[in-house]
Amino acid sequence: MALSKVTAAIAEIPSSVKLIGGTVVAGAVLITVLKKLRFWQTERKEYPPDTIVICQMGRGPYVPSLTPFAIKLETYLRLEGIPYEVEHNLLRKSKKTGKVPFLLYNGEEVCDSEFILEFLSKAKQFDLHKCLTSEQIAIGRAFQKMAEENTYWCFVADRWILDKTKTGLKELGLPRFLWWKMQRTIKGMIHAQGIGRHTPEEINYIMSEDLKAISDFIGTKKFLFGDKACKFDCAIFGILAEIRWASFGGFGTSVIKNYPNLCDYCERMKNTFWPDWNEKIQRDCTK
Amino acid sequence: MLPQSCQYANLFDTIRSVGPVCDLLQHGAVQGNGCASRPPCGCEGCRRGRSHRGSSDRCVERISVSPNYQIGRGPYVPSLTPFAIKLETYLRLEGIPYEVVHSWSRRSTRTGKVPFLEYNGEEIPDSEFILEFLSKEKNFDMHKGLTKEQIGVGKAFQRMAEEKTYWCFVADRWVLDETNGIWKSFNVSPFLARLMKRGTRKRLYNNGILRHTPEEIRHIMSEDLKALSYYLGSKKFLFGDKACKFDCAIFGILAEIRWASFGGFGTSVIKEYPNLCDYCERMKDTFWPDWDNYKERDGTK
Repeated sequence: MALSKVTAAIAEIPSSVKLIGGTVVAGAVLITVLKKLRFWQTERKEYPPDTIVICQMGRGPYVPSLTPFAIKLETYLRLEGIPYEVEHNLLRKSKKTGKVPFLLYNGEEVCDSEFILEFLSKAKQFDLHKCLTSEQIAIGRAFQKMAEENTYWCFVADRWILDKTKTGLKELGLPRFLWWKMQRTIKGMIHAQGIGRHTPEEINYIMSEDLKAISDFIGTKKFLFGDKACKFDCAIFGILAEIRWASFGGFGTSVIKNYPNLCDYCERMKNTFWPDWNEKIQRDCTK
Repeated sequence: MLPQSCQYANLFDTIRSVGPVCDLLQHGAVQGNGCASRPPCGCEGCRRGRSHRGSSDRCVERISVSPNYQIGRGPYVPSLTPFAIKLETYLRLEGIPYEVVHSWSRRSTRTGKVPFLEYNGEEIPDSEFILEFLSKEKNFDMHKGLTKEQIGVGKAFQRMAEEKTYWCFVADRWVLDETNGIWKSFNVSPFLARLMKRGTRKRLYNNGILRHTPEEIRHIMSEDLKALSYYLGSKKFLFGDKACKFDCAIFGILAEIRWASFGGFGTSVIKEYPNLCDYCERMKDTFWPDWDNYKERDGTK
């Protein structure tokens, strides 16, 4: 009875008022949900001054982050012994670039892993390329850019688009009805970059050739330039760790296994700089 | 032994001798793909009804390069796509005769891009896959004389230039240049240029480079060129006195930055590295003694 009175009353309200009211209610519900998901993190955590805070998308599975650039940053800070904090939020992205990871330092936001490292090298007074010759810096940059600008897109295409089992999407925990949206966005990105214009076999081949170049250069050395790791090792490790352990159902893992010295290199970097690796991942598949 | 530049003069005579209208096609003055006066030779391309150029007893590989038909080559460089310069430079380095077809609208049916290769009626896109195909077809070793480590380093520099520096100069030339230099060069009206820049801007945002500010893009380009400059040092080419495939790839990118940045910052950035400017001149003089025939306007000073 009461319900029928309510519905009758609602039916009498003019359409325009119903429309405005419905929009306001829907907006309020959406804002509440997003706040619950910490999208806007209005209650930000306070850090002491000069604290390095890396904002990234969350740990694991299988690797400390699903973005290789966060692994690169954290590995380098561990290499240099610089303390840092990590904030995890799947939805929060840099306001400038819309990507992760980004740095929060004394209230300032710095995005892009390269610019973050350059910023920190000035703020914390350390030399990013200490003990490297000019030629080594040049070679290191070339390998880093090859890994981050070419090999990276091969494994993005492999993990999120070409993998017919869609294991990556399942592992990410996204609702199924959002999978097509995410894949559409990524397809647009890889098409614009160029790798998406190739066939899966060609992408496999391109990834393999890049890994071969890194493998041939490292050879039997412990790291890129000998017995001591440098910033470029951290960058390359970020990419290789994703391919080695987080290809999910894609071909990345089988491709990198063709280069045993790269698999050994990944284990060496993990054991040297991530002795707490198993605490930083959701599941163990590092065998 | 002839100096390298004279060897290429002989090669160009070979190219011109392949067909009677070679000169017209090279200057981009003839639209379309073929020499109608030459009888079909029975290859796949002829059977498919495409106009085809070739001698009566052999097919000639054609590289389809597509700048705007109305412009043909250049301006300032033999092609506005560095991957066509890379291909042609490498074929000149190896002494392999080739022809170039200019077409306003023709793109690879597989990737939608240029350049692509047509060989006996088969289409192969992507400059790297073209070179690998030709290396098997024509039995040459793309990396002869190089150690495994040099091949690794060369590939890394090539990838850096083609996958990072390339996007920096694309953003610079087509979007960030406020003088609209390249658009004016094509006689595109300011209104149409603004519209087309919007589409390009969206593509470059998806690619990632345009998420950075113009100053950051300039810095990234400068750091990449610095790495190349440090590695090259005082050497003539990447790995000593003899050029290789990786030099051709890098030259393609550097030539665009050096001579075809139009109103963008590319030219001023590369001038900070004099050894790279000298390297561009050296590659041009060695492999393109006929450079002036293949560009519309002289901006090489």
